[in-house]
Amino acid sequence: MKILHLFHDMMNLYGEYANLLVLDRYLSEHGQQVQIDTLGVYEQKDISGYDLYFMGAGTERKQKLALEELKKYAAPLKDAYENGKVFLFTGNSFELLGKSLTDAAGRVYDGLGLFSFETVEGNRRIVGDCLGSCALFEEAVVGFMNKCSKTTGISNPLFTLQMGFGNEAEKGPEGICEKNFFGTHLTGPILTKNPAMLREITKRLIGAVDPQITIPYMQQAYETTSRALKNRLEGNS
Amino acid sequence: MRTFLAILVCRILTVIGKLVGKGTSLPGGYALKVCPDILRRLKKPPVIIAVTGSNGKTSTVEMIAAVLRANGKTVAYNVEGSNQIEGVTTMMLNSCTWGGKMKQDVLLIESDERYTKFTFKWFHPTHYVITNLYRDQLTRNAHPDWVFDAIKESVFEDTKLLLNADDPTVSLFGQGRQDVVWFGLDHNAYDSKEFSGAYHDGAFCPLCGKPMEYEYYHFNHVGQYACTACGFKRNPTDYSVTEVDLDQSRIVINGKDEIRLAFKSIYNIYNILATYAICDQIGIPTEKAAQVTSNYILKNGRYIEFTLGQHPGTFLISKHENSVSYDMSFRYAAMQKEHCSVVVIVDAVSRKYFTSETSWLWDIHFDWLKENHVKQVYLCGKYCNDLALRLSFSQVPTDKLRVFEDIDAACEELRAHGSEHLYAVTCFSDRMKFLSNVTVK
Ligand SMILES: [Zn+2]
Repeated sequence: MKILHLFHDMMNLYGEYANLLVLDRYLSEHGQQVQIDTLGVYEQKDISGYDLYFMGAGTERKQKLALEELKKYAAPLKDAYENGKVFLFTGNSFELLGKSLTDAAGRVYDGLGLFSFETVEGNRRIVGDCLGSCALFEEAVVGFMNKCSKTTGISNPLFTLQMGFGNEAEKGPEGICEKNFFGTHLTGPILTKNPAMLREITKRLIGAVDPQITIPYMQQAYETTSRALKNRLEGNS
Repeated sequence: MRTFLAILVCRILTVIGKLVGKGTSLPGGYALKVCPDILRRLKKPPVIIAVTGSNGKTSTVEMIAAVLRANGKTVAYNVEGSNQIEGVTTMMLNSCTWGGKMKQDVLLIESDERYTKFTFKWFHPTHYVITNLYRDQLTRNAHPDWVFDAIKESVFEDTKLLLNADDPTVSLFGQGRQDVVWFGLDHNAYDSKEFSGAYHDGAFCPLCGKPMEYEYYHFNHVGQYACTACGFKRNPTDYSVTEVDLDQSRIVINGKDEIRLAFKSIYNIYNILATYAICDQIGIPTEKAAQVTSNYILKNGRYIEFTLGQHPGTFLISKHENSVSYDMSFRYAAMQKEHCSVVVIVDAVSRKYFTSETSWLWDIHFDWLKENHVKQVYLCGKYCNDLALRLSFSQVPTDKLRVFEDIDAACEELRAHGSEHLYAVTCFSDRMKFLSNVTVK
């Protein structure tokens, strides 16, 4: 099992790296030999042959720097996507794979064009807790939004939010799910926060998960937050 | 007339507020409705000092005020929690004459980093201290670049900047300016060549985005840096901590003034240095600033000695959603080398707003606690499982962990067992949940 952490050194806001820590442990518990490589933002190397590609969120300035560097890998990334490799892009990293990205000053950047969606940044910060649902599993999704953009032109969203701002609207569809590509604006370690999401990604990688295998404290931590958010949504806190 | 009315409204509401125990920002808020440009209208003192940044604002302001008063200066300043424009307005309107004249020698303002631009839209500080910029309160502040842009809107040509040279993001405020006053720490025995921390916010140049190189780190991304591409680098300092000896609890500034430390943390050193620098800038003799800050014990409750059962203990305030503040507390505990246990409490992430966000826990460098002399780590409060999950991916052995949702129960166990020193680390929002269980010295 080979995993590539893209631009781990620059796109690393708020504990993004933990997504791979927990995935590594979970896959290992399933008997997988896991190899996690990193690709630094100014490094050049062959990125083909990985089972999963991961990138986390960065500040808006760092995201633009990352975009220029990521363009060098547009072809191998597109190949991997077409061949059904698994992708997890969180926060503003997934915006890089669309058609275009426009910053708050109106400057337009070309995206890598794996998808046709477009993103426009503004001066309003969209920041706060999120609670949503996912068509792929029953459990509610918890997470945190920290962006200043709207993304339009996505027909297959990953989540539907009951709390928080989605791709382009309050309580709207959020992220993108195409083939084995998972993109979400949620930032931080969404896999440590959402056991169901961890299982789903793992299923895509190895076919099935063993329900007996759990990561200690993870389920309880998830329940604490999902309970807090549901209470909040119902107006009890 | 409007000025008078605004002052009247502010003072009446302040009196009422005191009776009902309400906060200090509401009166100023109403006064601003009565007279939106009241801050411009007031006649202000000749010296206006502003302090902003992620960490250390309150302590620095407290020490500056202490030095000024000890030197016979009158000073109007705001206290913690009232650092947005409303709180600043309350303070200023309660400190002026009915005619709107502030008669103090110095106006000293702790300013919230994200809202400082609203305050200084109406008047400019003569001196502006920026302490540091870290990942902090993401629920409000998003991330350090976002905060940088917000502060930038409050930085004007007619203000003298006092900047922490060791923090690359803060240093960027001085780009292209000639009159910046720089402060920082010289290379000292507590520095490291290697980066320590869960993430490196100084890895790339804030100016051009290319990799930066560090000769040494004081802590996290704070140290001696230089960009590998564009020439951006740490500036030489006007005010420098030239000697640090934490064992002897002493530092020396600019090779001449010795200051004793009541609290042996690097933070405290930066706060003292900033205080020293600003006081010299406004004409207070440096030995006077050294005298007052020497052995200065902060009154804002950031460091408290206590006992719990047979345990002596030290309470170290940190800030939830602010990983560097936790790193500092854990580093402090790790450096003491005595047998100890550490209590970490995350129960309410914020006391000011709702959030259940815990990703900042992954940004904390818990590995400080892997040392053998750290006997046990108590993880307490509503988010004890998030803490335990985080710690189970650190280098801290899992058999050291004690997980308690109930903070009182954790304290009960500690009261009944053991006598090692305790370091209790948490935020203002959860402070009393622990302190109500112990005897404060
Ligand atoms: Zn540079």
